[in-house]
Amino acid sequence: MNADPRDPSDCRGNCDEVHANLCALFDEDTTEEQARELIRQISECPACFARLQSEREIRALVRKCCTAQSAPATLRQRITMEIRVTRRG
Amino acid sequence: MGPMTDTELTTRFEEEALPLLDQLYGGALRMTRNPSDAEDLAQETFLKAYKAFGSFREGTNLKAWLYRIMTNTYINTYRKKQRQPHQSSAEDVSDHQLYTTSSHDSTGLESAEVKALKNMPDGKIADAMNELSEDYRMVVYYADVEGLAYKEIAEIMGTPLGTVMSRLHRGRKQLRQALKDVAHEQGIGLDHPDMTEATDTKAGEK
Repeated sequence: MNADPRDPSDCRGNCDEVHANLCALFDEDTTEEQARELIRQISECPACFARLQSEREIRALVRKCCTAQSAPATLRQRITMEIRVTRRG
Repeated sequence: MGPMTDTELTTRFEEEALPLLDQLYGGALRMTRNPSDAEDLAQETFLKAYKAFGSFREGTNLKAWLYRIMTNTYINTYRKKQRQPHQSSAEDVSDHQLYTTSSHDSTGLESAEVKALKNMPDGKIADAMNELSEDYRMVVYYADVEGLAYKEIAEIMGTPLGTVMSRLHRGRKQLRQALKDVAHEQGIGLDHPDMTEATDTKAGEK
């Protein structure tokens, strides 16, 4: 689809704006409609489109890496025990 | 303790709050950047939360409530101990450093860089996260890892919404720059053949 990089000047001038909007795409308060419009804009420029793709992947990667470690079982046990002790006390 | 009996309260706490321990522990790890402090912080947070659980308003976000307790606990105990060398420079790093490079260079990652990062151990990326100053790190964590609403993040951190937004913006930018550096340490250069190729075409869906 974007194998033929266009003249980069096509997007010059609004690339930055599109990139700024890219974060909005992931925002909770961005409506479906706004998101569609953003995607439309982004898809017009190969550079922006690639940026969107990499942004998605990076977010997924950061999420995965930051949730990789679950709490130690001993911690869970300690908390459960302390709660019960607190309740009785 | 309100209308709930102790037993009911305990049962509810165990059913609703305790399952969030993994996530809160993950947050504690980001805050303290140290597994043993993270355990202590998480434990203290859950005990405080348990004692205060009677005042938790049902229908509000329990995870955000727990994070708020954790943040206060952290500020009151751990931060004092740690003395935060990064803290002061947090808000200064900024505009100069962030915007002197063009947005093309500084914000986005190229496909080859993303590919390189994917092949790295999780720890590398967590390390890059840990390098961010505390305020940036936590705001990125809350928003992009925990998926909390900006308003909730503002409440957790005790800052105005605008501060959350600007820290998030800068934090994300810094993190991406750091990840870029990590990728390049692995020998991925801008002249890598993949860099000039178009990326996969399956983006498009939200």
